[in-house]
Parts: sequence; structure tokens; C-alpha cells
Amino acid sequence: MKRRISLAGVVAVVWLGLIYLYVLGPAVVVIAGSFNTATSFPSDFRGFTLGWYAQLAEHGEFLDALVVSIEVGVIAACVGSVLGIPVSLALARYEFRFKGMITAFVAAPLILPQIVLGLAMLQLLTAVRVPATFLGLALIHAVFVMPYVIRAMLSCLAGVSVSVGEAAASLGANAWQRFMLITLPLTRAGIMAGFIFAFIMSFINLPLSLFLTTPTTTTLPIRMFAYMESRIDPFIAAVGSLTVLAVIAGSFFIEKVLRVRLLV
Amino acid sequence: MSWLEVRNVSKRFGAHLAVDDASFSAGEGEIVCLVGPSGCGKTTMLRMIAGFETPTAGGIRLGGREVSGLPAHRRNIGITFQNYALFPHMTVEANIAFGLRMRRIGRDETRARVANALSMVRLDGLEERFPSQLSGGQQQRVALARAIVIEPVMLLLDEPLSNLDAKLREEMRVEIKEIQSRLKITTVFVTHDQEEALTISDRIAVMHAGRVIQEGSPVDIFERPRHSFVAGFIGQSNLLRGVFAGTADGRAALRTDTGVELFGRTIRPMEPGTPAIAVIRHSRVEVWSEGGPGPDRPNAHHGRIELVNYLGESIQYVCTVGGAQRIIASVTIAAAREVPLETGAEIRISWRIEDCLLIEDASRLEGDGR
Repeated sequence: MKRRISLAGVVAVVWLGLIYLYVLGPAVVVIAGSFNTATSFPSDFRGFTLGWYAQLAEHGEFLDALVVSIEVGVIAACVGSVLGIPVSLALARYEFRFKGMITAFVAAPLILPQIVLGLAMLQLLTAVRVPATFLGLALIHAVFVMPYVIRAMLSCLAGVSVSVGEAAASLGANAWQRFMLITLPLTRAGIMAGFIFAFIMSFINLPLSLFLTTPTTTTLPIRMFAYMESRIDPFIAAVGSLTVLAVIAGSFFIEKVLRVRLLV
Repeated sequence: MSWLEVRNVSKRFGAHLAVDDASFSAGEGEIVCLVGPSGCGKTTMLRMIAGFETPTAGGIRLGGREVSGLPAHRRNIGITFQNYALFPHMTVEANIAFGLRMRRIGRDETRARVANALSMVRLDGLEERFPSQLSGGQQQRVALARAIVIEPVMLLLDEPLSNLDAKLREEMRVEIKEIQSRLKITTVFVTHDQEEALTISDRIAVMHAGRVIQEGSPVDIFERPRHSFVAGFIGQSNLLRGVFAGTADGRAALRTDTGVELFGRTIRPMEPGTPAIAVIRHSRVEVWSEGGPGPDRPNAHHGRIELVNYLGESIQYVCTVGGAQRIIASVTIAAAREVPLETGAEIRISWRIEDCLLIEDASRLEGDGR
């Protein structure tokens, strides 16, 4: 049987293609540029090389920054999860006063300009006379990533029927037993997804870290930013490509393996 | 004394009064149906008995003990949910064993009791399956086994048959009744299906707008509805609206809004002039062709058949009396074969006085505007 092709269908496909091009086009330019033998970026494609990736081994400061970013990301994701999971359980399972206000409040870090958040954290740390340290950096990241943990958990909890918990209660399980034996196993995917999502959002974050990095606690985005202030060459495109790859891998894992919807 | 006693219970959700001063009871070993249309408060009532909701007012006693302050996990009540609510990450065996695990029952005893419960719901051999690998009927059986294996003080069933197809529903209804009477476990069964309620229960509590408006045996509820809502909700009845005209010679008279004068009986005395409803079951209305033989009764009217509906086991005649009053008669196939009637036929229509109940029309009485 021949499939009929309607004009509306063609328009929709073309339109979607244009949107994808608009969103992903820059990443394609960066990835292509990272394999270019030319010494400046961006420039015409002259020839294929993996040399820019090999250069990574010589840039110890980028590897140090990578380690810092991973450490900050893991701590932020841990703290964000510990704070965010109970909030999402409360929002998903109970009705209470000011629920709307609290929902808006926990989402606030998404809306506030991150520059302002970073600056506020710097002022807070100065006010309590704690030097802008690694811990401060990790904690402000934790505040920022918590909404992503909540988002992933709420999406997961929507698929877990409330009556399952009630059934457990009727069979004699107290609140703690219900959490450990029912809620936790059933939301494991959401917890993992939230953790990875939170880690990614911390890992690629620049503005929050701007005020709080020190020479020994420089994150990867800050390091890249500093490098690009002096020059832009295919090396930085190679670093950028690897970051994009890691983020895509993480998102793919969440959506396809854990089957948690991150958006909508 | 009753095993379960619900006394003057109300439940308010914000501005909405879900249960309004409702009372009913269940004797030990009885199966009681809470029946009513959706939104009447029956599920909220069940959830209060289970301990998932706290009554705003009133008390719930179980075996003589007030349980309102007791959390759900300490009530020892078995419950099944409309969506079954099995634990999706556990096998059938682990699902059923869950309550025993919470009670720290030993491994051997647990295994024996799970096996016993499984055979009671006729699912032997499915221990290792996960809920997603079971049909809806099988899931419902697992849910039932999980609820009874803990030897609860009572069983609550929330619309246990509503998600099953018609044939399975009948089978499951018989099975629930069998298991319930074998275990002699006091059971509250919530349903919106009046037929289900009539067949399965020892007693019925009809709920409407948050209140229990009538409680009694199935025969009581069916034959002697005390409220026009019950009359309309239970069974298939003609509800003829009119005004009560008074009682003479032991028969009560009503003049319908369409001007037909008819006779019946009353349960509660009424003042002449009261808005009232005559309730006549479709199956108790008899129809003859005009001029044919028929009994001599005070309720005999000339009419006309407007529509004939074939229903398999019976035939439904939609008739008019006095030009405007619609009355439906339901006749068995055997009876209909003897006197075939067709659309447009002139007929005589009749019913016994005891089959016509005159009750106050609650919807037209003052002060009942809720």
C-alpha cells in the first residue's frame, strides 16, 4: 500500500528539520572543527586529524579542572538528591497549605539569574567569614541542581500509584517500611535519573562558578572560558566536543535506559 | 452487637462535604454493600474505615473498639483496590507474603499460608510471576489473596469487579462470596452496581450525596424503598411523579402530573396533597391486548404500545397511558409469545396494588434542597 504524503506532513518535517538545525547546528560546527588540521577555529576544513584530542594529555590544567568538575558535580548531585527527594515525595503525595508557593520556591534557582546566585553565595560566605572554597562552590551547585532532582523524581512518582503505598499500610507496613520497601525500589530509576541530570547541570555550569573558583578549584567550564579569552583554536573545540558527548550520553541513558522523561 | 459500627461520620475536604453524617453497621461475618452512584461518598467511607482518611466528625468502632485514632498499618484490615495496587516490583509470592513479613512470621509458616491463600483464589503455580505478567482477573485474585492471608479482622473491597469484563465479573462475584462465607469474614463491599449489591450482600447501605439514606436486607431495599432515590437507583422501575390523593378502603391513591389516577400502598403515612412518586417495577407491570382476557383490578388503564425493545430474556414494552403518561413493562419471552404485541397496539395495562409503592418525592419537598 502506498503511503500518502500530505502537504501538511512535508511542511511539518521541514519545519522540524530547521528547528533541529538551529538548535544542534553550532554543536556540529564545533565537533567538525575539532578534527580540522587548521590552527584557528572556526576556519575552512583543511584535513582530518585527531591531534587536537591528543593535545589534551599535555594540558594538565584541563585534566585537573575535569577532576574538580566531577567532584563538584558528584557532591552537588548527592546534596541535591538528599534535599530534593523528600521535597518531591511531599509534593507528589500530600496536600498542604502553601503547596503552590513551595513548588515555586523550590523551582526558584531555575529562574533566578545564576550570576546573581553566585554573587549572593560569595557575599554570604564572606559575611560568615568562610573563604570562597571548594565546599562553597559545591553547595551553591547543589542549590542550583535540586530543582532538576525534583523534576526527575516527580516525573517518576507520577507513574507510581498512591494506592500501592496504601496497600502496604493496610498490610501492616509503617511509614519507614513503606519508604524502604515500596517507594524507594519503585522510584530507583527516578533517583538515578535525577542524580545524573543534576550532575550534568553542575558539570556544564559556568556562571555560578565564576565568583567562587580559586586557582586550585577551577571547574572545566571556567578553564575553557579562561583559555578562550586568550585564543580560540580547534583544541578548545575538541574539549567542547567531549563535553557535549558526555552530556548526550548521560541524557540518553536517562531517557532510554531509566525511561524517565526529563522534559514535560 | 455489630462488628463494624460507623456512627454519624462526616468527612469534609475543604468546602466539599464528601460524607455527611452517615451511619451504618455490619454484623460479624456479614457482607455489607455500600452502593451508590459515583461521587456519593462510598469510597471515602471505605478509606476512613481503612484508616487512610480521618473522619471530620463521628466514630468508627471495630469489634467494640474505637479505631478512629489508629493508623492504617495497625488496624489489621484487609483491603483490595479498584486498580488492584499490587507491588509491581515483587513476584506474586512476595506480594502475598508482604503482610506476613510485616508480622515477622517464620519462613515455613509464611510459605504454607501463601500457598493456601493462592489455592483459595485458584492461582496455584503462579508464585514466580510478576503482576505485569497477569491478566486483570488474576491480579484481582492476587490482591484478594494478599488481603486475606493476614487473617484480617475485616475485609474492604473497593469496586472489586468494575475493571473486569462481564463474564469474568460474574465468576469473580461468586468466588468472592464463596471465600467470604468460608472464612466468615466481615466484609464491606463498595460498588456502584445495584445488581451486584443485591446478589452478593447480606445487607445493603444505599449512599446518596454523602449520606446513607437506607440500610437493610436486599429484599427490604428492593421491595420497600423508603426514599425516592433508592426506588430509582435499585432495580428497573417506573417512577411516576404526582400528588398523593389520600387513602381509602386500604388503598392509597395518587394523581400523576399527567392526570392518571392510580392506586398503590404506602409505607409511611403522608398528608393528602404531598408531592409523591409511584414506584412500579418494570417486571411487575402486566399488559394485555385490548379486548383480551385479563384480571379485574382497580389499576387497569387503557394504553398504547409506543415501542418494543427485544432484550433476549425479556421484552420491554414502552407504553403510554392517558395519552401522555409513559409506563414501561418488562415481560418474559414466554409470556410475550402467548400474546404477541406490536408497536401501535391498543392495550390494557395493570399492576397489583402491592406492587405499586407511593413514597414522598424528596426532590420536591421543602427543606431538602441539599
